[in-house]
Amino acid sequence: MNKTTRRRRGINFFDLFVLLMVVAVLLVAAYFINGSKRITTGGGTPVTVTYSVEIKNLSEQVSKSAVIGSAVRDGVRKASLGKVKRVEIVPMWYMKNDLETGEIKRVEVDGRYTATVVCEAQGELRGGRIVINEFTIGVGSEIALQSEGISGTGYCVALDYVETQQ
Amino acid sequence: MGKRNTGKSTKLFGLFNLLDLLILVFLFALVGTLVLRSNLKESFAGTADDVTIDFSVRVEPVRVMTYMAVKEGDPLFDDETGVQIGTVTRVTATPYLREATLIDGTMVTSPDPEYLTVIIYAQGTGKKGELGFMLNGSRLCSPGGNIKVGSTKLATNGRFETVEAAS
Repeated sequence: MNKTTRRRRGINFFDLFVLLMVVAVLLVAAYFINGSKRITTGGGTPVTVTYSVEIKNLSEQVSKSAVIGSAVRDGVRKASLGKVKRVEIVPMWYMKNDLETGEIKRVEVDGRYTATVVCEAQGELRGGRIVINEFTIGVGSEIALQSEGISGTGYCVALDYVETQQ
Repeated sequence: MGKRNTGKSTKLFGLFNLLDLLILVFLFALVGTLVLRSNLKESFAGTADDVTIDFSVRVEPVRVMTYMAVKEGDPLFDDETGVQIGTVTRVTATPYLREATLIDGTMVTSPDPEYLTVIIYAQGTGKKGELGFMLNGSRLCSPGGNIKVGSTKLATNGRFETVEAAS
């Protein structure tokens, strides 16, 4: 097979170069169209983050199945989010109004539980945000928690951090 | 024979002229980007100088943990773009007024003992255009508009309550 025959088949160096250029142009265009999301990488302050995820409407069996020390990750963004430190279980409740007075009262649901999974992870304080493995977290973040003992989607209801000694 | 080989090497996949295709792709990308962005940019082209903008974001219904997660002096971010849009100047919390249906079918609002309405007051810079204020080139904002708002310890959904140029 001579050199001319090889060029007629498959993708040569110049084809690859053009493909890379096309991808680069599309990425630049997408950057401008979607808005300039400023992602700063690196340079953050290492911190130990303690956060809590509240998972509601669990059966008694599931609410008690969390394994302390097991690894945690977010099932949607596939980010590792540290380890389970402890779990607090309370009866599930919701707010309901009195039909005659309109007064809003807290009502517990029999047989259903809310688990607050307290986790600890190493993260960064980067640009004023708390970031754990590229997952920006704060009170109110929705987390699809996955761990060996317990999984479920809930919201971050508490977050604190301390700078890690280097 | 040698002339034929040279011609093939300049064609992409043996079909398209390499240089022509590069120029076409570049032009399509450039025109597309300019068309999509031009409308918004034209709206703010007339105001070259930044103005200081006072704004507030209503977050509700939330529990006390959310209120405690943000405080005066914290940076405030547009959580969709990651851009800082201001600095928190004040945070207030009042009982959330929940709608309640009575037995006779009437509806009233009643304070919820567990949930709060949190209002985050902040100050940032931006431009004023025909469509309103653009906070730090990131967020076109006016009262009633939704925002995913973030701070160092906060990430939640809110709604602009007030937006005005600082006096």
